[in-house]
Amino acid sequence: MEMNEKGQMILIFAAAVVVIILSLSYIYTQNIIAGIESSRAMLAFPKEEIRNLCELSVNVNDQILEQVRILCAKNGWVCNYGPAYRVEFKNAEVEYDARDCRR
Amino acid sequence: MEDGKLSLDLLMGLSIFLFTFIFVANFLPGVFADVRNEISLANQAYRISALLVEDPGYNSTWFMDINPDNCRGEEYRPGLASYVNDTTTVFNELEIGKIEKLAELLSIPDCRERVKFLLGLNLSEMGGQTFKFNVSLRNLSGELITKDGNVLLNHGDILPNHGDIIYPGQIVKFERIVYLSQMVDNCHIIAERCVAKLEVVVWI
Amino acid sequence: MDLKAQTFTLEGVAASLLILIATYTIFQSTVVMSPSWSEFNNIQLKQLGYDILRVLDNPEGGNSSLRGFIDNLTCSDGRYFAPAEFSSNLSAILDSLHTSGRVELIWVNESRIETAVLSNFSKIPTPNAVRVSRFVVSSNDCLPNAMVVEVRLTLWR
Repeated sequence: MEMNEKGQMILIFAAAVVVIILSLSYIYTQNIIAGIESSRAMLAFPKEEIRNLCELSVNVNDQILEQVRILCAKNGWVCNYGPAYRVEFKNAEVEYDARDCRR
Repeated sequence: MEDGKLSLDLLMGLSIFLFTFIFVANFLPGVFADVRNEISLANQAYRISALLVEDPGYNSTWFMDINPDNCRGEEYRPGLASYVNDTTTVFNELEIGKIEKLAELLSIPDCRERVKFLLGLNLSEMGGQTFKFNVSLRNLSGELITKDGNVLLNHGDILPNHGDIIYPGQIVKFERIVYLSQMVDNCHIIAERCVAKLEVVVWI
Repeated sequence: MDLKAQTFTLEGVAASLLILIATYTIFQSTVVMSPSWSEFNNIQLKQLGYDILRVLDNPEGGNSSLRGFIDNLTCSDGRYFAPAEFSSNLSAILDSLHTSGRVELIWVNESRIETAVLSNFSKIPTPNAVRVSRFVVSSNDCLPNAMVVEVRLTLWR
């Protein structure tokens, strides 16, 4: 059978262009992913909420604790605090349980 | 005699194409390298602001122990948050003594480099980048906070001029709202607290 | 003149032009700004919100503190008014930061969760707003059965 060698150049060039586009998009995506991963750390960890509970845990009153639990639940968190700086906090991404939240 | 398989036009087209391809391939990483700087700059600015505003520093008496003579040799970490009763950090309350000590250390070039190293802005020994930074304490109107007529904190590397900045992303600013442990000349008093704004600027 | 096989040259020229135009467009457009830029704006606003709530939470702070303004809240016809001192101070802070804010109070009324919006800070936020909360131990007749109140600050630029 006779080999038809027409059109090989077009295909080579098309392959080269595809490789360029793929490598550009790979670089660009890495850019995006790196940005998302590093900025998520701040957005995801509830540092301020935990400190707030730590400060509340100084004076434990059952009724206040119950209301705090309900208000946390409305935000989608599970909160609990106990005497002597014991704090528990759970949200969709983080589980935090500390015997002494000051440390 | 057989005709040549490679025609002259083919060679011309191929060489133009390859020339452009190589040119672009060498040129392109430079573009993204600059853009990637943005990501780490923002993180550094946030991190430095958190270290200064939420951490009392190591050790808790660093502002009394460190002075321009031993700033190069000692191991310490600057932090401006108040530390009371030897146990509790008061977040966002900045101790005037610590601010003054940081200003003093940052005004001496040797100590400034050491402070930048201890804050983690000089990663060259680990194969990373170095950053320049500037920190200032202002009131809510944007004026620098002064105590007894002297500017409290506006120190660090010299900010680049407007003409040097090519596009946003090469320099990043992070602001925090704080209050001071003592009264100063021009802070706004809100809820019985002397409220100010700490600005951390980081660039390459 | 032999006009055969000119397509190869044309192909090469067209491909190189395409790459050049694409690269030029990428350089000139600001689309290449890293998307983490908008994330960063959110982080800045969120941290500022937390800072504002923390700084205002002074147990001995008078009418401008969180506890103070809740203690001295007045209400009528479903509208809630904070003391003038608190409103002006918070407005001053928000103006200096070039942001707008909305303040809501959320509390537990026996078995229901109720929300109140402060009259002076009741603008509708934009979709890119950030929301921060702080729990404050305080009570007021305007907020029946509340022993602790969640102060929710929504900030946007």
